[in-house]
Amino acid sequence: MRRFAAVVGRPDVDPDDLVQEAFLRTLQVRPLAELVAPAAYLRRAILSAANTQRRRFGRTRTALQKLRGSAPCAADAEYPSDVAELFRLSATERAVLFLHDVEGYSFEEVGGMLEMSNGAVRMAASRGRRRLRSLLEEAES
Amino acid sequence: MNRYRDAFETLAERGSPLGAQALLERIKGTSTTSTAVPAPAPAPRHRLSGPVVAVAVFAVVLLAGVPLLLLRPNGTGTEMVDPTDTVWREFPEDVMGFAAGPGGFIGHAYHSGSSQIVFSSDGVTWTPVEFPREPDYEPPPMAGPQLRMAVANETLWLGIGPENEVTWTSTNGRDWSLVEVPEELATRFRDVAAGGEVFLATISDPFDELPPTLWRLGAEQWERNTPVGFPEASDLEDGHLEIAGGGAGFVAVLSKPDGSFATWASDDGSVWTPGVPVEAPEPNPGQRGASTWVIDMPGGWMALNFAFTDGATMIHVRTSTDGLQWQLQPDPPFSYRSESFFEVDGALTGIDGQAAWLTRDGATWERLRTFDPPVMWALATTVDGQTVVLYESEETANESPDTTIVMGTPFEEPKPDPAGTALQDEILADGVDTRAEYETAVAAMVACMEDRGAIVDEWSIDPNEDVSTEYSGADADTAFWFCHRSYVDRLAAALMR
Repeated sequence: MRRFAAVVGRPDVDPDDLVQEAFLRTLQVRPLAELVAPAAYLRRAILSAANTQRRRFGRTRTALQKLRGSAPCAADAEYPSDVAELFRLSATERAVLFLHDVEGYSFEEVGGMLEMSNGAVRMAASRGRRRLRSLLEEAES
Repeated sequence: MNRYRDAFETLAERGSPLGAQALLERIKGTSTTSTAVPAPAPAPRHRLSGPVVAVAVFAVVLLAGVPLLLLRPNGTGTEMVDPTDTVWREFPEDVMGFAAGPGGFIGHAYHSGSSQIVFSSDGVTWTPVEFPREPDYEPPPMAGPQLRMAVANETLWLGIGPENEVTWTSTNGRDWSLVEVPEELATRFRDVAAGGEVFLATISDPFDELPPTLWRLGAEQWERNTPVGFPEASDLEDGHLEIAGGGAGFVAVLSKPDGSFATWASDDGSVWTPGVPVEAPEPNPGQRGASTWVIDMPGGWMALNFAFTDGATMIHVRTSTDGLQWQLQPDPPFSYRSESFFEVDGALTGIDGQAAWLTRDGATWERLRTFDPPVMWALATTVDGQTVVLYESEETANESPDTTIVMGTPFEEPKPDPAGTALQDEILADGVDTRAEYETAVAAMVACMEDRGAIVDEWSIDPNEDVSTEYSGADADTAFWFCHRSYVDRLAAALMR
């Protein structure tokens, strides 16, 4: 769970915080013992929490951009590591690629976990791969 | 192993004592016991390590018409996907198929590391498309396309921006107009269903205490629907809700992780009728989840029920004329291993590794052709009376952005060998209860191949019942697919279950 949270969360968000928030959100809905597939449900909760944070940050970013003109926000600074490219993908794209390419789940299963249609999952994977390739080519040139 | 997998592993371990330490050591050459993610700061850029990143390949195939179009990347060789392919043409774009709708395709074209949205009416000529900007919306500071998703009903395209905060519509795929997204809907919807002349988006987030809510887009604006009989939050439990659209209206499907599902049907999204719930099938050993996907078919709907186990995905197919009562159909004649299904002109095609199977009724399947490399996803539309399928498959050793089109004639699959059909029927009559029966069928398949001129050097069956065959000869591929289909496919599918 924390590996998934680390992948889908924003770079300035501790994955442990995201996992804890997901557990709390899930437990507010129903006890874990009543869930048929608690792991899949928790991943959805983690992605939902990550998206909530992204929306919150997006509103802040838009407001700051209006105040400062086009100057970038501090949190938009480049992440100094070889994972910087991954943070230029959306959280959903990172989630799909991580679950399929790293964790080995089928696209259909990823779709079930993330509440996405089969086609949307494949599109997200394809788009994420293309974008990664573009970023790599851009960096190499 | 893709090039970025190492980076994902690094990212997945961030924040953990071991992961943070390894990350910082890689970045700064120092060690630390901090459990926090390193703060952004200027630092040398590190390259992703590992093999070459995956490169996608795209193809356009005319299945029903005479010409067959196939886009393949330059530099991957001229290995023919179909022996009947005849003409090759250069195509200078690396176009990623995106959606099919009125008049053609919307796609991404990639140029020197940046992408552009393009439109094509024929899959051959692509022209750039511009989208008007929302004045109050600043797109996120990440590289990426302006359009996250595009869907279409019979008359209208709908485009959705990168963070689901902006939408556009178009009647022709070329000229787009902004459609304001209400605050409550913005950023929350992931998938949209198109049916008749409307689009329906459903949002539901139990973690934010957001009950299922339905939004409707006609020609000009998003409106919150107040549907009668639509599932409520108490219906969802730990399932997830999706809407399928088509000529027959809409079907909402609530898919549960145990494989059970429930449906509601509606003509236009305003009044919903609950269907007869479908119970979960007997779980397979090691099953860790299930999901159900509903698509529209000529005269009704088809539900694909996926059960996930390690190494394989099992499917059950059900059909319905009204979206409310579902009839279980015979198992498809192929073993499914997480590849692709796509609709083609009202029919459904399943890609099993390198073979494409088509059904128009959910009960009988026709093997269409082979793909090498396997297909990752596909979409289809009808242009000038011909069905055009645009699909993407995956290459791992090519970075060229160029693509090539090949045109040819569709592949005609001969009827299976009656002797093979009879042998499979006989074995399946009481189940494939011994390995010897399976070996008998595979040996008959090999004999069939040799009768057709193939030279079979070696064959074996591994513990997972996968058949490995080494063969050569001018028409050996065709012989293999024909004989495998005739003698083994249904047995293999039965063994998978």
